[in-house]
Amino acid sequence: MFSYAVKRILWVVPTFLGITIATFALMHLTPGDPSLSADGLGQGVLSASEHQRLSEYFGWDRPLGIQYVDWLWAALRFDFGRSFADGQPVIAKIGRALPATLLLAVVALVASLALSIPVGILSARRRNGLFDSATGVLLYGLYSVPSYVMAVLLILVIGLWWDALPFRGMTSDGFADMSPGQKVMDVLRHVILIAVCLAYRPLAFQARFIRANLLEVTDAGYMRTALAKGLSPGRALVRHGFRNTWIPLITLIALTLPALLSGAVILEVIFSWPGIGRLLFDSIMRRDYPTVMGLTVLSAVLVLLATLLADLAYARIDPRVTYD
Amino acid sequence: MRTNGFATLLLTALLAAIGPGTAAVSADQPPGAQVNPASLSRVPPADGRDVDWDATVYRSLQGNPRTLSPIFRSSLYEFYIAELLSPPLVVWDEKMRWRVHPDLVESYEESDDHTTATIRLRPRLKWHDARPFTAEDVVFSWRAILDERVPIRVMRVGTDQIAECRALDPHTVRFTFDAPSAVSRENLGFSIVARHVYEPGQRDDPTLRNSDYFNRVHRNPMGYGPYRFVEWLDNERIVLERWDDYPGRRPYIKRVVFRIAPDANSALMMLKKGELDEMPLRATQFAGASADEAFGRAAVRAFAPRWDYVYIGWNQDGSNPFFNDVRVRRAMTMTGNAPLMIERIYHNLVAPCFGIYHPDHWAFETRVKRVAYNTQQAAKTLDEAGWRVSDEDGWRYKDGVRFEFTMLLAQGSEAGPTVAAILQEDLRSIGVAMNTQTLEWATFLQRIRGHDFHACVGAWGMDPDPDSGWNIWRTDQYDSGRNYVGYSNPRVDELYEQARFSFDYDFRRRCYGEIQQLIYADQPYTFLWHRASLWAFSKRLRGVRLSPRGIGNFYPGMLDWWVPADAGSIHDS
Repeated sequence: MFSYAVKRILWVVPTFLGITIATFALMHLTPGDPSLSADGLGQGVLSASEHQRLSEYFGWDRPLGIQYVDWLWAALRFDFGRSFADGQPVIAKIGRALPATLLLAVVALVASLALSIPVGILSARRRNGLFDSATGVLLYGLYSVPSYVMAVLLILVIGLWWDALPFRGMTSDGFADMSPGQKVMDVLRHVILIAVCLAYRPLAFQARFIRANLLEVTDAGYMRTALAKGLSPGRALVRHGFRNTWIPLITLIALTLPALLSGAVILEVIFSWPGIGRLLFDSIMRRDYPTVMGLTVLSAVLVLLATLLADLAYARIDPRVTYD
Repeated sequence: MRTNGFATLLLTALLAAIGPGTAAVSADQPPGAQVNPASLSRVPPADGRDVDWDATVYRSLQGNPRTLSPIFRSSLYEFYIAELLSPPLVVWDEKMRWRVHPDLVESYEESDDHTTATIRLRPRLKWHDARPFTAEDVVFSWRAILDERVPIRVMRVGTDQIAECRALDPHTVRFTFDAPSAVSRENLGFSIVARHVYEPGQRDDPTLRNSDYFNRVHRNPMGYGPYRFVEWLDNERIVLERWDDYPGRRPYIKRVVFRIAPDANSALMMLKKGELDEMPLRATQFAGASADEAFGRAAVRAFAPRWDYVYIGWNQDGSNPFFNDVRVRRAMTMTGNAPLMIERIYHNLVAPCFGIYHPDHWAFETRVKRVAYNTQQAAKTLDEAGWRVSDEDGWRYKDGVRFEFTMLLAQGSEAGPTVAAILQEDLRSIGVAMNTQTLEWATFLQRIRGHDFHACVGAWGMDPDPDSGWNIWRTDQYDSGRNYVGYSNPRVDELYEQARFSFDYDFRRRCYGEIQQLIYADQPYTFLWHRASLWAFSKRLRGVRLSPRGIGNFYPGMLDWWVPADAGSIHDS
């Protein structure tokens, strides 16, 4: 187990290098540079000599390899540099955007699991019954609705017509003056609509996934044994059947989580949500290389970490899996 | 009277486009939102009795500003905020006339030879931390902006035309210009920062940017204007509050909340819900609002001409075999069906343009005749230019080269795709092949700056003084300016030079008028139309006027806005 973990961690190194080199090269080889980005006034007014002065200042006229090594050396010491856009440390910028994304990801993931697990089990238990067929149709239907369409629909109906929930940003205007309890409620009210948009497609997928996996195990010998011992079918399904769907489910979650944490650009734009996705999008459009690289490292580390943890978790969940 | 005539023409076109049901024509027929109703621009009673002095106004920003540092600012959003926190010493009024900021400047004098200008500051000016605002702050800021170690992008342009800036006493600054020019005084509007805040950090960080000290300073910008900074939540909102110690005119609105709402459709829903007091509208949103009841209940629309133009640029620097010939460029313009494009993109809200100035502009030359849409004439002109239709494949050729070019478009451009589609269709009918290539903005800019294109769709905003065309049209601006298409006309070069260094209004007007005629005759661009400012304002807002540059960047701008005391909050929820 231990040596497996070490081996896995060692593999992280080349993977990490590969990801960062690819991103770095892609970013710098894309035409345009930070002085030419979208929201700059007088884009064309910058004279050639001024442009040269800025290039030297930011160092984007040096050979790519040297720029990368410099970046890597600093990054290894957790120094991700300062944003080209405003001179703020990249870490500080990410730090300001991360809480919104984290909150959204956790709420969306918890909500989708909390619904998909019971729905998956129930529909497997009464396979092809009314509940199974109804949720099947509903979930496939949901799964095929793009989230930005759902977003507009929810904003229109719940946000505007019913006026039941806010659909803009993460906090109300008087947030600073609220009591802690009110603050929590305020943020939760703001997160609901966007979290629903982010969660319903994973929910549909997970529920059908759990159902399919459960159906695979219902005919297994140990299930028959469990039933023969006198367990109720429901209990057998949950206690014995469901445990065996954990492994694929954890893989699924491990791969979903980094995607959730890297931000959902379109939803964040529609809901004016101050998360990582918008920071990444703005930074790419502004050719803010240090911030883009910082965000790449963040999501690369998350993916690597999540898959590693998932691998290690298999052994905990399923005694048959050993890595020795 | 000509200007009024043009405005009427636009308004007629506008009303025709949005139908007779609009309240602008008959007040008894809602359902849609009114256009430019009298209530929107109403001035408050002189005693201020009906004004809600505690009102909060919710404004929209389409993106998160990069920085709120006055000297590093570079985008329009940043200017909207900066003009409230730290307004410049010289400003434009709503008719785009240059003037000194009346709250900040007591007197302005230019020497007889126009090489020096002396500004006397109002004596009671203070920074928001109560320290006095003095001439030394102005001098320090000028030095900082021009300091080679400070990586400033936009603010240096223009400020670098001031050769010397000196404090004569705590309230008097003298500026010296290299050469006497009619536009020198426009450059006095650079941003001013507090010396007592910046100087202590400068020793450790001469970039004024890359240190925790300046990060803090720029996240909490301090100014001397009518509003002070309260909070900035990235990608969410920026809050300003009226600063009651401001010695100048007191603004009516107490708090300004800038909501950062990047999606135009979401913003529209916020407006209808009463969460925004203003937002720019797209042409389709503007047209659609005439039948939208929810919109009509919450908001009104504002329409104002804008001093800019949309064009198709033809690269004539000799790198392609097509557009060096003025006849070819004229033929291209004849093929460009501007009225149809305006109908499709702008719902007939705007009119075709006559070259580089807006008809309301003082330099506009009425004798310019528009090249009309006429594909037959275009075909004949191309024949004369030697581009003849081949009997084999129906395309035009000259010296064995097929007339086939690529039009560059910037992604997200409102007009680009439609302009290209309509032109492509008509060009094909006369035997010219046009391809399109859409590029992300920074890439697009890099290509056109490098003159690496055949044709492109673009737009220029016009600075109030026509001298701003200097770096677009002069031959020597090919390498470092904005003359991307490689336009060259020695007479135009000469006229720009003469007009810049003259102080005779009539002479300058004649020069710039001739420039407009010459450029229109040369057709380096196909000039399409001037855009319009299309805006939505909540029904409770008063005192709103738009300048030819839109909602901001003129005096008094937002300082005139007010909310009637009985209007209530738009934000009852």
